[in-house]
Amino acid sequence: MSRLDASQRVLRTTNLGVERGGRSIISGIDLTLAGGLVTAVVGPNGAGKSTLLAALAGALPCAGEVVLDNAADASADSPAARSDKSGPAPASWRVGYMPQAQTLRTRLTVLEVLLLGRREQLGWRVSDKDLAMAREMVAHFRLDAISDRPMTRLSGGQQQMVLLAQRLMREPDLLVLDEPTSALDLHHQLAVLDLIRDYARRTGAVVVAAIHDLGLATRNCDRVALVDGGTVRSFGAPEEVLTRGMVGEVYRVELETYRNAEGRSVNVPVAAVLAPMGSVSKSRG
Amino acid sequence: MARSMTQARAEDSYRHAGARKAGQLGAAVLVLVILMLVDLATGPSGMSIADVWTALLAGPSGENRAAATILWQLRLPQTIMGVLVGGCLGISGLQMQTILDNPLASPFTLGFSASAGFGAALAIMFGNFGWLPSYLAVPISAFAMTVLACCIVYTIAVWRGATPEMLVLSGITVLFFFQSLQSLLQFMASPEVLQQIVFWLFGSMLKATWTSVAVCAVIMIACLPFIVRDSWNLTALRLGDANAASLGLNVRSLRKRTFLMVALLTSAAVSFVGTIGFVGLIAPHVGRALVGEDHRYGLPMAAVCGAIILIAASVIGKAISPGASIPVGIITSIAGIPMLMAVIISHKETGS
Repeated sequence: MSRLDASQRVLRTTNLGVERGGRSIISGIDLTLAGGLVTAVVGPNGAGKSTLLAALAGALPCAGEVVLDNAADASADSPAARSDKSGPAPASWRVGYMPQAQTLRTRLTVLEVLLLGRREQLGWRVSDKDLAMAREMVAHFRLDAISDRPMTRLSGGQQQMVLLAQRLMREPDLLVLDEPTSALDLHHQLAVLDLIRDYARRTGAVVVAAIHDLGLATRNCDRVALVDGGTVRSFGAPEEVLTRGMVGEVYRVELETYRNAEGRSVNVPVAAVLAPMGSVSKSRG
Repeated sequence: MARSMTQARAEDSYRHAGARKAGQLGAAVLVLVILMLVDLATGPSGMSIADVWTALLAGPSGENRAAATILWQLRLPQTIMGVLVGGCLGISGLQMQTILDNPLASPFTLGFSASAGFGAALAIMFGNFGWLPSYLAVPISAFAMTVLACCIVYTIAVWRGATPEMLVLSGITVLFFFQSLQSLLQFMASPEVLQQIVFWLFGSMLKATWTSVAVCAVIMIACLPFIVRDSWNLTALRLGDANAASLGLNVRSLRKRTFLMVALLTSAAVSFVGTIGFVGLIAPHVGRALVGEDHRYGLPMAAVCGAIILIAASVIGKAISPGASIPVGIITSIAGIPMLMAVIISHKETGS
């Protein structure tokens, strides 16, 4: 778990784009994601969130450039660049990519699944080190009670936690999570965001996660990238990006603004706007 | 303190499960060895276990010539061939079920039995192709046709992407293609030749010789390092393509090379002894039920289970009709139906 590498990492994209069947899914994306922070990718259905994440993780052929760098030697003239037609990220960078949740049909136990996270390091016999690491992860994710249970006997949320823990077993420099909280209850949504935030802080890894719940993105992530129509509309601190006007326009909803106990304003969506976009400026108390 | 204690206890649970699985594997091997001895002791000539034991210890040039010949030239190659064939079918069955992510897949799903049958029928009908002794012509022709079938499926898979769907669809096409060709040959054949073809199609260990044992063993041993190397990868594939790929695994390439391995193991098994159904379908299920989905245990367990099923079928075949032993292919197919039924029902129950 503890990779004692304090140097923060940076992920930069230049004019990143993905085409499928001659149709552009995402295009012209320039992002700089700092290590040690959790970036939430938000946006309406079909905006291109999943495609963007897959491209960042190197799981899709893409145009443009994705550069993974150590912040310390950002000025170095030969960054570990991966451009042109995709391929895996540079060998020096470990990527932990979790695609959207699918139904699992395996009866592998939780511990066996965690150990598979070390696939590239595993010998024929599981080493004491790898096993100890898996046990540590079990404790870290509070999976003790289910660690010997087959995956088919877990709930969707438990499966999602196990798969996330498995990605952390890889000790990734870049952690890309496609809706890691989609099957989780409130408690576990917050717990998972705490876990990945803690991981980012401790290791300086770049962490990107697609998140549907804007409240969660605002309160529990460090940066937000708002994706709409295949491009990044806005990127920055959550409260700068998720403004009432921007959210209303992109998501086509009406919002009401409240003040919470700490005096901060909170935007709450109250109705879907069925009219064409651009007519959502109506405001209420 | 408390945490380190739970950790130590839990650490045990994984190692403990590993030791248990290894123990089960050992027990299965023991059962297999006992069955092999029983198989050696049964047969039309009525040797007792004691006779078999002395003949076995005396070696191929033992003083009791009759016993030595029966044991060393007839029964031993048949029994060992049974073990090898069962092992090949068990391993390739599990590999097939894993790469196709389908519990009803078997080594024959992609048409390898039909192609071997056609190859054998071809050689039986047109004799030795002018230069080969016929005991080699049939297996070589069966092997060649299986390789051809494999090439067709492989080409389609490379061309259109090695997804489970594409493999199954092209495999089924190949299966029907070779089945039709074989029917055509059977239709054209004279009654005597037809009888020979039909007998070949009943997989039977009577066809085994030391040559077939050697060839089958060499192919199996040659495949072993590749099987071992991909054990963890096949285990990872159980998580689904997307998850396996994000663990850094090249899923398509794994699927293609495993498919080649299945083709090789299956053709090694069926070319000499004919098609033997259900072993490759049932053995992986028994193996998985015993040791789970970790392929480091699952593959050897499927192999041993396959061998056990085959040798047991051979013993039963000889016991039912002591004069002319019933071919194992027929026994495994009959016994396989209720087993298959059990598999289907148990899958419904677990809802997976």
